Amino acid sequence: MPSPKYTALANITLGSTTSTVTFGSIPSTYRDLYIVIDALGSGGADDVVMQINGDTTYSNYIRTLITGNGTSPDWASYSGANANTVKLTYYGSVISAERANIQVHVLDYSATNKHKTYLARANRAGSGVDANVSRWVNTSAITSVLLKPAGSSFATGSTFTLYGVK
Amino acid sequence: MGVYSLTKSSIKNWVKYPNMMAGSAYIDPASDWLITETILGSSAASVTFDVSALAAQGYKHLQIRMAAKTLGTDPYAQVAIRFNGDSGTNYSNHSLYGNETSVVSSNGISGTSLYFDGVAGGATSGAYGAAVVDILDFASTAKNKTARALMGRINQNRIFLNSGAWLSTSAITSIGITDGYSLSFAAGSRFSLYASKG
Repeated sequence: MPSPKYTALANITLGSTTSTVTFGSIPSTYRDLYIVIDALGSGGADDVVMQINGDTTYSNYIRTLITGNGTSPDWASYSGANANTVKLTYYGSVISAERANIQVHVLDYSATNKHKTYLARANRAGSGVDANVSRWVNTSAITSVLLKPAGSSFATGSTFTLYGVK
Repeated sequence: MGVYSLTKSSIKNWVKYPNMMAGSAYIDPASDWLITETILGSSAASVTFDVSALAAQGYKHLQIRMAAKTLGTDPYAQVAIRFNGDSGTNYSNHSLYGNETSVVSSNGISGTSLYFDGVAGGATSGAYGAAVVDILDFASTAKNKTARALMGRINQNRIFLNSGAWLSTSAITSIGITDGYSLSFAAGSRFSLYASKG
């Protein structure tokens, strides 16, 4: 018997400038998480950070990306004690002047026999497009996700939606 | 107070409906559905989805989500996707990917499967590749079939944007997934099939 694919677990629209957005108490009853962000930053271009279960240790994350800014394609790969390991964006960063759209697929987020691999697409029309793959080197089920700009805040009107995917 | 009875013959324009919809069209509360899923309890060489009944149920597009790795000792692996068991040279694909040193573009034509790189090999315990594969208009008999995929792995770190085509106007009735290097998928690998009504 087919089951509805998506269940909206949380939907946040910021009524004021906010430094962090957290999806907490995530139930373990879905297969994947899908996060959709449509956000403005509070100042200049700033990358969006995603941290899992309160884990702020950079070396627990690994990330590789490709990106394009309309001039040339580029790549990057981060591991170890590097603050870029926890980011989702490169040219698709948030800024006060225009919205960035970011989508994150976290597959098998509650599996306790797997590290957590997640795929992100980040897009901002006046800047560029990114595709990321990241791995949280931990077999714990994901119960919370924190999102924040690396050095600024999200602006009023930014929206964040968390879906459970069956 | 009098008691009155209401009979069918006294109702003007009486119509009997077989259900509570009363002639109105059924509206799905959701447009996207999980159809089936396979989580391997032990290693397996292939996973097959039978989609032959989905078009008649109103589904138009398919999505396969995978968290998978193979038994190989290498860190890399790729899936080979075959439609309707077609093993002819009827597939083509392109990819744009980033490795740890550059951005690379690659392609394959006249292939015997859609080869989509991005799942993980077995080199690192706990590390599974992730894939979201979309197959659009899977049942159309007026089009060749097009697929796109966002895939990635972190061991031999790679992020892939893949696209591919099956050069056939036949409706897709089955989807076979194997490892492109003829290895087996490891236990714990998961393959989920979703369908969308557009």
